[in-house]
Amino acid sequence: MLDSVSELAKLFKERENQGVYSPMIGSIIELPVVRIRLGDKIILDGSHLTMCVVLQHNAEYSDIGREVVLLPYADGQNFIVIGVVN
Amino acid sequence: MHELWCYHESQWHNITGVVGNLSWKSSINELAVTMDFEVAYSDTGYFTTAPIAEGDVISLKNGDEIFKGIILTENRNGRSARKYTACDFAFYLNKSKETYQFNRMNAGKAIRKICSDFDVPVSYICPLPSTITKIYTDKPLSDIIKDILGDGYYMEMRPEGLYINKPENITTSGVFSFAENLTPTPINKLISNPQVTRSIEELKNSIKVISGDEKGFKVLKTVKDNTLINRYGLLQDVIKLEDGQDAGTVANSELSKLAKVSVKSSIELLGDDNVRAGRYLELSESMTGIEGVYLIESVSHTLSNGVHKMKIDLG
Repeated sequence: MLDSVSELAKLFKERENQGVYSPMIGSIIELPVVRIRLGDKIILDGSHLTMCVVLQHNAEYSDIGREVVLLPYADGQNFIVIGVVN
Repeated sequence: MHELWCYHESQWHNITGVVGNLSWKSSINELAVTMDFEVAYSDTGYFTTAPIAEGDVISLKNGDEIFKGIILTENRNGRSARKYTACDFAFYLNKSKETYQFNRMNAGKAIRKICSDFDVPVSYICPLPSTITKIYTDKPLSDIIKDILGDGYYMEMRPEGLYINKPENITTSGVFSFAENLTPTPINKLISNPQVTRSIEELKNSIKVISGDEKGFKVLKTVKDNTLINRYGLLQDVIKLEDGQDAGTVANSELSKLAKVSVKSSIELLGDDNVRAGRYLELSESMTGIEGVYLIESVSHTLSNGVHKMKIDLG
């Protein structure tokens, strides 16, 4: 039997606006076992990533240091790598 | 006797004499304790305005310190008393956002790290067995801490710092005295305005658990309480399973949580400072059937004309 102000606050909290969904830009820091840095604090590895592109790492060419476009899903816990930024 | 102190311009001031209609409220649904009070004001000559302004630290004492917080708002209304709202230091956890990534970190250690990053003192965190592997992007600190804790714990900001414990670890039994030379009486002997509301609005007697991965949905487990279905009709909820969870455990846990008639009660008692949300109170009231040990969901203390009262919502 919450008072009306607390009840209203609880309802607002439950229906709080979600942040705007948008792609994110990460930076490749390790290959061939992929690791991508997202911002200052987040490091993504294979457990977080679903790849739509093949990232290259060989004697002639490496994608390390390049930026990739990420689509977050599963409440921001996993990411789809949809491409490398040209 | 309660005293209200204000830290204004590098000095503590006792403002008890000019304060009226003091009230403070704690709730298990809200991390912060809020306090409201009025301060006498007049524009006549020789009337000294109380040394108090927004941003000042406020402290309520009754022997021990009961509440310590910061004044958030001041409301001036002509010659009327000025109204102030204060909030304890959990305000900073509610208003600050940050990004965190935890990899198999112990829940208690993760919470201590967040508090340490924002210079929030920690009073006590009970042993938390779970580990956390999760990404939080630009989330309020209080939301991150609540998510790490999950159900079954409550937290409050005490004057000495953040306090986290299981509710069953604290029972309270307040007392009051009509006069200082009389024997104190337990507060639960004088219950006034008891109210009980029973409802099946939120009841669920069937739980279906489905797989929650990106490859599609599949029903993993369905559990039912047939006695309640026969009595109230079928009321079903669908739960999406997260990684690492067991379908049977989740289904049974949700059913035991939701398959019951919701009972909400409230009472009014004479005041005791130890009564806070998240603690348990033993009560016996025959008219409405409030009998047993109850969780305090929220409590509003009011101190007016020297009388301390409480309105308590019971879980």
